[in-house]
Amino acid sequence: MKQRGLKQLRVIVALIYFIGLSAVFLDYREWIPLDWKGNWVAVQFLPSLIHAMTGYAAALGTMIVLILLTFLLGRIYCSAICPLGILQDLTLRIIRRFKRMKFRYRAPSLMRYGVLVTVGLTLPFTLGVLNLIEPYSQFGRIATHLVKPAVIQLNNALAGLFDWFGSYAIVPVSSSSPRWGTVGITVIFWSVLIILVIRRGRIFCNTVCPAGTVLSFISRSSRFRIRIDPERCNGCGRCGGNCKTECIDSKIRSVDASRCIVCCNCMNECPAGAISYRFSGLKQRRLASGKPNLVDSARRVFLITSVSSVALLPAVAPGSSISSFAAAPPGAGSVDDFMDKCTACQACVSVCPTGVLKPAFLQRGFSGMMQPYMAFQQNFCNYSCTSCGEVCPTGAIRLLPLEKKQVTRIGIARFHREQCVVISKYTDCIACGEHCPTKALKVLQAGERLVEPHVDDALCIGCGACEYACPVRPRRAITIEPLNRHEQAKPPDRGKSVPEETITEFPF
Amino acid sequence: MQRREFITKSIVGGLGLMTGLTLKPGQLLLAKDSQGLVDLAAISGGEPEVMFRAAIDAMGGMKRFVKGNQKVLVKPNIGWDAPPERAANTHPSLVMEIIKSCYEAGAKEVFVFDNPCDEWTRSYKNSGIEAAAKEAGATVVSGKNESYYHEVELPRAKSLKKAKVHELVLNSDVFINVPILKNHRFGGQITIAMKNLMGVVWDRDYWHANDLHQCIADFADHFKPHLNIVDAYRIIRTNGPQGISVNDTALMKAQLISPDIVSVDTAATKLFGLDPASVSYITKGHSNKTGTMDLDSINIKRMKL
Repeated sequence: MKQRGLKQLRVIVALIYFIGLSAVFLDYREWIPLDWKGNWVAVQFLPSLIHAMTGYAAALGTMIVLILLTFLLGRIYCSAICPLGILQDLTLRIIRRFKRMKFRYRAPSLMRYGVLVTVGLTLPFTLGVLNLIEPYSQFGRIATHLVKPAVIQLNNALAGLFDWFGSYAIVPVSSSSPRWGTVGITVIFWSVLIILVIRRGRIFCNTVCPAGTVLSFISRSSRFRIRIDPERCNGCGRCGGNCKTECIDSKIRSVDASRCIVCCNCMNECPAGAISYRFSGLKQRRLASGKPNLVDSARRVFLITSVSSVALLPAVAPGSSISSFAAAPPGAGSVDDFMDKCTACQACVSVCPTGVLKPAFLQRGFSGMMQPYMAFQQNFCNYSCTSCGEVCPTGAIRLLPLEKKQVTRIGIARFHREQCVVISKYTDCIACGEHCPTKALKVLQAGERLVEPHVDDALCIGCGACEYACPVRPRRAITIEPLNRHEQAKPPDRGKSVPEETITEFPF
Repeated sequence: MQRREFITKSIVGGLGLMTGLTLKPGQLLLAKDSQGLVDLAAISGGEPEVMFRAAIDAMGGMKRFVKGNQKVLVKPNIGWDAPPERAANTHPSLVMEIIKSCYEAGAKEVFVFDNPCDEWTRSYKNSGIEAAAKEAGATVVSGKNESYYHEVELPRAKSLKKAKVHELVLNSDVFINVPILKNHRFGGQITIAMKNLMGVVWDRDYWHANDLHQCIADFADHFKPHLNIVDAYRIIRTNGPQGISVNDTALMKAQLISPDIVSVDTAATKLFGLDPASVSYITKGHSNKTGTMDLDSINIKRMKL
């Protein structure tokens, strides 16, 4: 009874982190500083693991802290840091208002190992499988593709109302039309998750989630854990009935620490005050651990692994031939590197000020599904912006210094002369040349008082300003050909300073 | 209120197209200009805000253009995410001073917006114009939202038969156009007041794809600003209209003011060192009678600080 505050503490920490992280994804007017956003997303387990594997020290530090925390305190990560976990808890809370939820103890399913093995087997070929189920990225997609558009619509409705009354106090925000592929996948995933929550609580976290499974190996031997005092327990079973991870076997008074996420709900439910969270020695840990029921599992692991491996065969196809359809943002190094690291969490998509970063649907095949690409028909990469690199938690987009970003070539402009307005209509345009920030677009005399564009490859960085600005439809007269491996462009010619032009007499 | 006003205006415009939308106080004033008022003020040798004060006084003061309780739109060039020293956007000190003088003349509210080429929040911020305008008390409005733009027909147009125009242009009492003089790499080689109006429409693609010069002339003919203030304090000489570095700019320390958009573009082109007759949209503006290229026929006040 003394530890009643633990659940409250867990709820408070979880809410603070959840609200903060949601704000990172929902901030549609760049109110929150980028470094703050970057730090907020940097504590996620699997993204940090990927980032750490690229040799990034800070991410390695995050990994060590998360592992030590789990070893010491159990899977508090799943309760207080994982946004998808917190989202499930919130869902449960809402469902409970309408429906009495009762859980019961179930033997641990070995399916989680099957999923982990499947993900592990596909990893050398594709991140696609991991990305579909990685919890933080799932949350990012729900926030970016389902919640944020709703927030923007609400903002714009208010702005419209204010505008009607002659006030410009609320700034309307342009939102690009939804991408149904992305929205569809996200809706399907979220719906399945809600159904799982209604039926089995946090079953996703203990069967599907790879982060959960990895952490379960560590929490199995965690020092602090939930324990049932057999002396005080009256065997009422309320703890098990309220355990959303279904890990309390109240009959034998044991808690499966590998599945327990230390939500502390059981503690507050226990009428006898028999449940506590305390340090456990080795002997107590051995006693308390539930023995997994192995009867149904081996076959299931085999089935899941083999079925999913076969199903995922098309995904394993090499991506380089597909990469030509979609450029990766500056800082990615190459499309292949990018696809090897991006978990498609959409943090970059949410902070991109121009909206040029859009989630791919099938542009890069299954492997690259939901991973962002540069959608130059929608917009172009702002020359003085490095926002995506500031927030990427996996290192798929490294933060480049601005002067480096400004010479990083991610694609190259290709001019299709016969389609150009200047050639086809013999009228002036040069929208592309006006937008080009490096002046890679030179102008050639195309006739008296007419100029046509010409691309200087050495200066082009593939920012897409020309493609975006080109008024020719349906196929634009200038398009960016994405590069797989990014290159360094020649810095723009800064010229010599022009002397002051003092006016002695007006020429009119 | 404004939207309702707009709708009413549109209906009126639909019935008696030319009178409803295009006959604005500025044109009435133009008729009076022959009676000794200055048609164009050219000034050089000072800071933007100092030159503006002297020039607007020479024009007869801001009260000539802005009456008490009027709603004023100040439309600078905020096209690019570039700092003031790159001269890709109108000088913020000039914008600030114009807004102040509008309020001194009795304006009810002054609005500032542009539809930038670069990302709009960065352009507003890094140009220094958003902060300057707010400091002077203006309401800074987004130009990057389609819901603010309303389709209007341009009955006299040759190419641009209709355009989606920002509601502030449609329902402000006074429209002050504040371009910056810059080199532009299109065939005209220069962007000033008429070209600056591209920033008040939503669909610029149409202009680019359908005889740009004609569209510029068509639009200026239907939406003549009441006053044009050309910032030639620092101008872009090369790599316009955004430039790469300060080296693309030259310090000219000049300013031109006129209610006649064609005259002011003609004078500015000469100041830049080009022949106005070689700039197609200016000659079209002259033959449309949007304004005059004949600078000898107008009353010009030249000043040096």
